[in-house]
Amino acid sequence: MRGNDNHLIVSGSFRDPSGFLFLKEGRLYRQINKVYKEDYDMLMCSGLYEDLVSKNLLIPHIESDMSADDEECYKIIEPEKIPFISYNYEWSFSQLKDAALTTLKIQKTALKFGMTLKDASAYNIQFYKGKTILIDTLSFRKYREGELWVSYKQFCNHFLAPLTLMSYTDIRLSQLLRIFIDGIPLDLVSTLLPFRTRMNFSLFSHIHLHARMQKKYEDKLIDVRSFNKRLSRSGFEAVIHSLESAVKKLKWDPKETGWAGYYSATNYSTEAFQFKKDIINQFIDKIKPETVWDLGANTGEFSRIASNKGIYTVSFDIDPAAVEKNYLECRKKKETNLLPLVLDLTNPSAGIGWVNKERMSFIERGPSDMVLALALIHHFVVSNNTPLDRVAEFLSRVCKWLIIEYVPKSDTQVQKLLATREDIFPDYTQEGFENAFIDYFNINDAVKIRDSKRTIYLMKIKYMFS
Amino acid sequence: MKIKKYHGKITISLQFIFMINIIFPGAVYCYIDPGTGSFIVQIIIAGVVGSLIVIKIFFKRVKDFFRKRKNNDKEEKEN
Repeated sequence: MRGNDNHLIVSGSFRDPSGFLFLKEGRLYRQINKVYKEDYDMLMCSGLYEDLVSKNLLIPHIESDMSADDEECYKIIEPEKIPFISYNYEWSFSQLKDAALTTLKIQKTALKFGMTLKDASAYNIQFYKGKTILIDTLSFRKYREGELWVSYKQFCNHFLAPLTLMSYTDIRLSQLLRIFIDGIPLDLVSTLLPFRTRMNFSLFSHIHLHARMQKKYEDKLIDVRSFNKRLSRSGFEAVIHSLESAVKKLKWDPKETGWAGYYSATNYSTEAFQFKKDIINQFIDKIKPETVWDLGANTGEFSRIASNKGIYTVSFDIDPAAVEKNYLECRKKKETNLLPLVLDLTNPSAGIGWVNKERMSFIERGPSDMVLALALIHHFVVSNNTPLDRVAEFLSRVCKWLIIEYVPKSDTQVQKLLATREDIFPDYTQEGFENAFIDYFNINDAVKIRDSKRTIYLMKIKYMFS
Repeated sequence: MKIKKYHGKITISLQFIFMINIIFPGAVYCYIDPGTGSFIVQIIIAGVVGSLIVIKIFFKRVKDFFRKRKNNDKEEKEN
């Protein structure tokens, strides 16, 4: 969407009348409208902004002296740029839990400074320098004694509902967030949760009773204004406290799944594994990318070759358990350059929301300077029946440089995949692989891994997709 | 055994449902708002959690009172 003065308005930021985000000459700005003046000034002058920024809870910004023709405009600010925007349906359990706790922590802090969060959307939280951080500076407004938490319902839909489903029913239910952009409806959550969640006071009240009350009052006439004198400040704090304790108690244990225990089960000898690491290390040093995406990253062993060099790396994997382990490792080691995410590469995140543009698709968020596609190709070709040239075309859309591992049919991992299906892949040979890729890439280097039948390639794309 | 384990929780839940029916009878007025149910739940939770905190503080004070008395008795005996 094009705004005045040839700047590009960011599609996801149209709902809030307080302001919007726009891109100009590759830099991200946020316009603050006059209607939000009072609250913005209070955020900046009350000490809340400094307090949150010093605790890495709110994205820092500078006030720009850029002029705007827009009459509505009060100020233009330039927030620090997040290297990779991720969404709640791509987060593992602990990532969503940390985002939820960060939101509540911000609300508690805001209250101390006489403000409250008018928005508790999970899309306002991002991973920045290894931590969850609020990126929407316009989420605050003055707290008025007696009022209820206006974002309570949103918090339950965006955070508590998916976390409870992931913890009590099935970890994969986080994918409901892909369909329900405003968070999972509580009546649906209530039916999907086991009966024992009704025996837990927090879950009973915030989810089951909440769902029932929504249903009961959906078509009844109520004087809403009268509610805003109903809740004392200590009552307000009690609600936040109750939500916090509910979220903190939710647990999920990533058991040894097929992928999470993968490294111990590969057919690599220790020497070959080290050799593979050395080759990737050399290739990365040669290209010096600024960003790396590791596709099919598992628990991020190879991603860390890049991230440990200070390169911003995103680790994608389909397995929520592997991503959870990867994230817990990041948190433990306080890694700031690595972001693990859950993604099915055969059906990556699409553009969703209004005009399919509110949340970006996976491809839209690229290309990355470099992609690692290690021990991945056979899953695309054999498991997903994707022809090699389609794989090459896809990869050329998401990177400038590619490090890819060719796994031959004779490899035991491929044999395992072929064990239960007919071999309909006559072109899946090293020659067929190279022929498919040279339409999109120039092969820069190829190294056979010692003690193995596999080969690692370094390739550069021939032309950029627009 | 399971019933025993959940007994306390079931009682609390039943009391809770009873309380809601007392506080919110059918008669309501004004405008359709999908957030109304969420507002009501907040008031209930604030009431329950707030009361629990008050009870907790009360019992803590009672406990502290007796502990203090016990300690005083002990000290007196020692002296």
